[in-house]
Amino acid sequence: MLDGVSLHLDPGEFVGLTGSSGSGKSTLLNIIGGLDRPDSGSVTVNGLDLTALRRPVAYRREVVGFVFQSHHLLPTLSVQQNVELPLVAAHVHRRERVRRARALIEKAGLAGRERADLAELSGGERQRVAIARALVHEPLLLLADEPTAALDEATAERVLEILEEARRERGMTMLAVTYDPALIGRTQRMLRLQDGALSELPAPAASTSGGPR
Amino acid sequence: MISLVLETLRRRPARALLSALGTAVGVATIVALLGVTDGLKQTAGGLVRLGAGDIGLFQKNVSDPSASVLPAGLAARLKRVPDIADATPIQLLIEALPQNPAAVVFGVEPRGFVAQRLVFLQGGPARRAREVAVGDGLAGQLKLRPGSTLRISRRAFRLTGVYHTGILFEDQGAIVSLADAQGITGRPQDATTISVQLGEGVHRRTAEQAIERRFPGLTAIGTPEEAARAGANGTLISKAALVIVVLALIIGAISVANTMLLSVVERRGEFAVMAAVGWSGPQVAGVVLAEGVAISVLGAGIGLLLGAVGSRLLVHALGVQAFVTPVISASVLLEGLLVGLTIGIVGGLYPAWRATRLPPAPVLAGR
Repeated sequence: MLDGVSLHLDPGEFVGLTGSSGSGKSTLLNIIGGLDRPDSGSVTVNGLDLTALRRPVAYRREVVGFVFQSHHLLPTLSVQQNVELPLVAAHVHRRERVRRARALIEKAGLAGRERADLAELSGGERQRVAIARALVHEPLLLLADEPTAALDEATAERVLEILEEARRERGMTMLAVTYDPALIGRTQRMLRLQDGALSELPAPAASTSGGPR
Repeated sequence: MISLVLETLRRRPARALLSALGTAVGVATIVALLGVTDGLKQTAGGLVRLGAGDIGLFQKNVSDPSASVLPAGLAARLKRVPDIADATPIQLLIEALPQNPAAVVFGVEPRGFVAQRLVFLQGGPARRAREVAVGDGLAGQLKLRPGSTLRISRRAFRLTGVYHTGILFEDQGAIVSLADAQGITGRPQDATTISVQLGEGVHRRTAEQAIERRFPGLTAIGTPEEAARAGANGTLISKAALVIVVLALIIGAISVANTMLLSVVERRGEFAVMAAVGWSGPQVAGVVLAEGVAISVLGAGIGLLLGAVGSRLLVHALGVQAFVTPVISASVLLEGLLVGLTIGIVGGLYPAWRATRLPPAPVLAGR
């Protein structure tokens, strides 16, 4: 699916990724996120060669944050418990988990909904919970698969502000698959995956590049 | 992690309860069986203590102590053994009372220590032929009092008194003279057992070994545990109970494994998300195992209750309450709880391992 892809992201950089359906965007994110392995080649993040690791659990726990296309929250858990998930994996003390999760839930505009069931939330609210979960362990790298898709304009704007703030404050690097002009407008560069090959889009094209869902 | 497990169970109560019921049935079976087995041991122990003797002597290698046949004259020889203070033969008559087949009739020597130690609540001892004294339990059941007539193996006996000894067998049974009992069995020289009173300060186990050495055809029983082991039927019951315990364990574990495996398949997306956000294999496995254990603890709680109630219902349904009173002791409850926990752990192992083998990327992509 991916062939000869070479990608370098600078620390703190915000890069957008576009391409036709089935072009390998999600696969590329999964490989960089340690969820999938390439048949050949290497992936190095912050000096760590992922391909040399049998199971990059610690990498997923400490270095990377994921925002999935469909939010992938745990339906049996409350908003607070979903956001705390990465911190539970990292054995962070309960009091600290609660503090960090609450701070992000508040930033996501969901203060007072900590104990709410996911069934009580709208699609946009769930996506904000997913973003809070992706940021709660303060990752160096955020991988987002269409984080603003299916969100109304105001909610999308709020989500972008949360992401932008995290990037600005902690120098987090971001790679986001997107067709959303608002998000594309905030990226520092845009890449396109076509037939398994990666190319950089010129800056003017970036803001007008649409694509299939 | 514990709150996460409890939250998951709380939000899926029907599945948790149904899974717990699988464990509950296994634990209830075990508790009921162990309770009844312990009750049987206690009942067997009553045989040893007939007439408040220190040791009961029975024929070796019989299927059941009640099937033992000994020469009644052996009692006289035993009295000459230095460690033995007294010995008296007892003939047991099983199913001799048509009004209550579970009651046992004892034939004892009127001058033997068994007859002499009876404490009477009404009337007095049976001293002559065709006289009978009954335990207060049997008297209450059959509404008997001194002067009543009791038929034993189609022979009429006049009731002389009602006694209480505190030994289940005796209080639920009746006592006639040894000669009458031997007449009913048609074996005028035989007895079922010989009850032995040891001399003061004599060590029981040492005396038992000395008697068995001196009289090779005898088995000396001094404790309920020895009584339960003495008869082949008792051993058979213990072994059958063990087999059923193991079967309950296996069936319970398979039931939990099946439920947990279905749960893992159903929730594979959740486990993939957990792996994606940094949960390690052991952490994911821990969640599945903890859920299995939590369900089993719930099931064990229900099972303990069902077992305690069920064992009593079972004994009543079989009509053997005169012989057996289930003993639901702390150790029986603890064993039931341990079996429940074992079911949870063993049953959760394979599903837990499966949960750790889920590849996150394809699962999250819905493949």
